[in-house]
Amino acid sequence: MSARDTLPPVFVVGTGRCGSTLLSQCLRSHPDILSLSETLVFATDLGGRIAEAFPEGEVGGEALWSILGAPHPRQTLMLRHDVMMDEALYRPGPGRRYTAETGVPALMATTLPHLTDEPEGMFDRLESFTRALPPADIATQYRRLFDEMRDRARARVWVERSGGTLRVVERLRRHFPEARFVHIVRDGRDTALSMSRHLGFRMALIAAQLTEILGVDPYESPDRRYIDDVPDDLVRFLPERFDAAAFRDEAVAVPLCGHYWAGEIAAGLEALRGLEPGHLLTLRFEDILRAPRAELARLFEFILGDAPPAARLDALAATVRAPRSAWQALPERERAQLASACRPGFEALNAAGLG
Amino acid sequence: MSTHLVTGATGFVGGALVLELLKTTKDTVVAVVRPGPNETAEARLHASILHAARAYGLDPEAVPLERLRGVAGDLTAPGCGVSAPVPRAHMLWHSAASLRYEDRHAEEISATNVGGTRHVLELARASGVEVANMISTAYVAGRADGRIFEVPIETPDVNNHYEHSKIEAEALARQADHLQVRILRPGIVVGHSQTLAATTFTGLYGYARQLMQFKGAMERMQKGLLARRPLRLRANPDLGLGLVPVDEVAVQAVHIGNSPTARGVYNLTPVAPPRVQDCILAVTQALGFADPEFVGFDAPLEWLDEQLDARLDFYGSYVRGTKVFDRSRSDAALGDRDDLRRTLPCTKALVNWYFARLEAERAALPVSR
Repeated sequence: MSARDTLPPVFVVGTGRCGSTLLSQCLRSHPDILSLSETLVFATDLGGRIAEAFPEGEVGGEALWSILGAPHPRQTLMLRHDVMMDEALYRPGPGRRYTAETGVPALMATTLPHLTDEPEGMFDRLESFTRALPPADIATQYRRLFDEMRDRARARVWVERSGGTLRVVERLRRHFPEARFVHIVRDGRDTALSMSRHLGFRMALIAAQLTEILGVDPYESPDRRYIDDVPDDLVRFLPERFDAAAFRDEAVAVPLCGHYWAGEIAAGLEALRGLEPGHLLTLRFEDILRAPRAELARLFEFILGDAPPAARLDALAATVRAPRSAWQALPERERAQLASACRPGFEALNAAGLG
Repeated sequence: MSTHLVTGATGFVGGALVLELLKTTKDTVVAVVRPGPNETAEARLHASILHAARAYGLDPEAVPLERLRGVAGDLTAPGCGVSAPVPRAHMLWHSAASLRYEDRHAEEISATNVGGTRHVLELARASGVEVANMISTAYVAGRADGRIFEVPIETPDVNNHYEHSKIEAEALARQADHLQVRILRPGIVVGHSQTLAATTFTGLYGYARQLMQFKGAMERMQKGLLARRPLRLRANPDLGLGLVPVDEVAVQAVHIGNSPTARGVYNLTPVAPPRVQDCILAVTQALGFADPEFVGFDAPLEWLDEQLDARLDFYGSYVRGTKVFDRSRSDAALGDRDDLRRTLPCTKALVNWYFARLEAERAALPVSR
């Protein structure tokens, strides 16, 4: 693949639980696209290691590999207690290289199994490549690795898509000024409801609360000097006393997810503001459900400059299914709480002309 | 010269009491202390007292450690688990307590505050103690409202395990008919009147810390949420908050304790307590909250308000209702001794002192973006 044929990278960003996984499935089917699915979410350990995934200054290939090629504590805890989210495609088990005890490297959780049926072989090849990289800033190191993957796949562009990366748009813009962004937006009430039932978000939101109470990330640090401040309903999710059944069965409060959604939308829109034309495409999940063929065509045109043949678009459109749950089914009080929590997000969307 | 037997000497009130006893008497102080993982009970005790002395602006070199003995023990064990006979003592100062409150700690609270008191009274009897000064809390008043007199709690109506345990502990002490018993009930003990420093952080500090933690967690959910949205707090803004500096508690407790005729209950509470509203605003404004709306106990709350209300439940008895602590007996015991009174620092200064300390501890928190 010559440099002339390649295209600047794309990040598909959203709040999480907004339909972006569907886009990864569609993008993977196109030969010109290397679809990097859930790379950032696992590299940052579900949002707990954002700073560590974007270290300052020059770093060597070994440092990049410690981010992508190593298991991280939150995911390992979830694996050990069999509460890993469905998006993680690599499942430890008999005959597999990685076990629940060893943990699964970030790149192996979803990104490589999403691309190949032999992820361990690809992992080994990428490890050799990455460890040999000369020092550079972290964005250059990511770029070198993802470009290498793109070229090996004979694709023209790599597209990274992880749940919840609206949170790191500011970093992505700073590190990848050439990048283009696809922002997928879904009704906050449905998004929040989905978040409340999602194991990955459950871990992220519980961890955020425990971190602020304990003053340390409890999945990284044994410091428990403020353990007495942890309320009974959260103390069960500390790694040393993890209650897997409660974690699996008890949804996060829907209004909390509503506040989260609204915050992500408002901050994300602000972070995306000022992108030049051609660098930002906003898709609405509800539009994709309503008119999948047309919306997917817009997506491909934005990324590649043209849409796939009609027959392929039709086939992809046929895979689009409406989710099962909807916020309208919530009890009245919870519905009102959710609507109230989401209001700032809707106001931000309206102000941006996306209402 | 006599000997004082002290429990809780490594705690907030206990440490200040020990310093006051060493300063105002020539007596020996013997403290029952749990040893540290790598240090003897006495070494831990001395380190703790020197730390308190520095915090309160005292010269550590001037602390007469030769009159301060540590005895290894554990209040939750029969006889306080002391490994060697405790020297004969004339007066007990029992200030050890668990200040926990979550349901999961119910057994531990009872074991320390009730079982511990029982064991301390046994030890006191064995040591020949004749006078017992029991540090309780003004908030044994529980849900009672109006004027809270310096009398035993006859019909407990409590908010939590902690209050219940302290009422039981008071009852045990009153039943010890071989002792002359004083029940000393401090309000919400805060930092030193001059240096602002505290050595442990419950009460006002726990309330402030909970608000800081809540703000931080919500900030991770939605940046600026609590700066924009005023919270509804179930509190009586005009209620007096029973804040009392630790040095005032110590100086008044030791004065009353050393009075040969003192017996019964004494409220060591502020004469002119600050308003709840001013104290809460000192905390919320320091943290960048939008000014909260104060509402009644039964007022409806939105989901976000409910979350904070649940976190602050333990502190409800501090900020709700109409409690006014009567000090008639304490004031009579203190007489016109102005030197036994301290000026409460402004709440904003106390809170800012604590937040500066907390911020330093939390500097390494992981980023959220």
